[in-house]
Amino acid sequence: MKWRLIDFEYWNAWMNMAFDEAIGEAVKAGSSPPTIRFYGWDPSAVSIGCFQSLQDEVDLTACQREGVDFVRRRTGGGAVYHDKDGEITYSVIAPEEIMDKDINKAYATICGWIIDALDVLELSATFAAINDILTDGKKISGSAQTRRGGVFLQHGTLLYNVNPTKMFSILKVGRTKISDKAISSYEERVTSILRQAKVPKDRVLLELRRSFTKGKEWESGTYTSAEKERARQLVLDRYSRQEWNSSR
Amino acid sequence: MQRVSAEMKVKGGKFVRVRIAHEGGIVFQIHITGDFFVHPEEGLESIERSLVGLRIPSTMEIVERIVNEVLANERITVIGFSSSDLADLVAGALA
Repeated sequence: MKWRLIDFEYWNAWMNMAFDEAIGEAVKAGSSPPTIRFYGWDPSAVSIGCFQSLQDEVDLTACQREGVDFVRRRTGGGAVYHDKDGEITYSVIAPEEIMDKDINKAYATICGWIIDALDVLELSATFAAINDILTDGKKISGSAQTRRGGVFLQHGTLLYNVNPTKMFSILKVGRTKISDKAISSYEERVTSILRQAKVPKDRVLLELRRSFTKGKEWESGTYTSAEKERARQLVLDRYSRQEWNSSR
Repeated sequence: MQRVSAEMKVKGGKFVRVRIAHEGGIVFQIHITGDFFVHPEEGLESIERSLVGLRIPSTMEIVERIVNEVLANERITVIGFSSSDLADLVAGALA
């Protein structure tokens, strides 16, 4: 089965999540091939896990002040701050039967592709179950997976240039136990590519492209007009709606 | 209506918080939030619904049995906490 690779593009938070869903529907219908996409978030945004409480996780006043969007994902997992310049996001969307049947094994497989790319960039990284990648003992990547109607989706983040102060002014995590010490220790738990190696973002994207497509038959592609149209509809119906984003 | 909550970071798992509204010794509403995974995602609402009507106090064993039943009946997989973690949290919040 031939894969489609969609190179890094910026979209807003709602469209990014809507594309994952629209592509999943198209893969299910057989009208789109399995797809790997790389993307960024413009403006910067927070995505929260399907089961998280928006109020608990996100400082909405800080979001408004900083011009940061927010969206609830359809996947579980934790809140992620997607900085416009500091982060690369990926999605892998494919018929379930061509991916690992076991959820944990699928995390390990796709995280292995990221580790492969980091390895070539001379960043030593390890998979940390359930869904994280660590470099220097600190989190550099996190992923989330879902399977719906026979379609597999895993998306995740790779931190390129982290600004922990900004990240943790938006995310409430680490602030629950109010103490400066707790916050700084949380900030020390994340790292980024630029903290470990001076590599341009384009080079990182090239390595990701290589490692994600390794051993696959693939071609470069873009979103179909049907996917774009469906994604815009999903923004209206779900991702822009308060009923969805504040549902927990 | 009384409201209680409890939270835990499961060792080797995820963060889970429960918020429970109860009155007259009966659970009226329960919300489970956190950074865990539920497959399929709608399964979490089934778990929450299964605990509405729970008598207070209820032992951890009772809560665990209810949760296990709904997990099995609806083929729900949870990653990040176990039914006994959740039972511990719910029974603890209501104790």
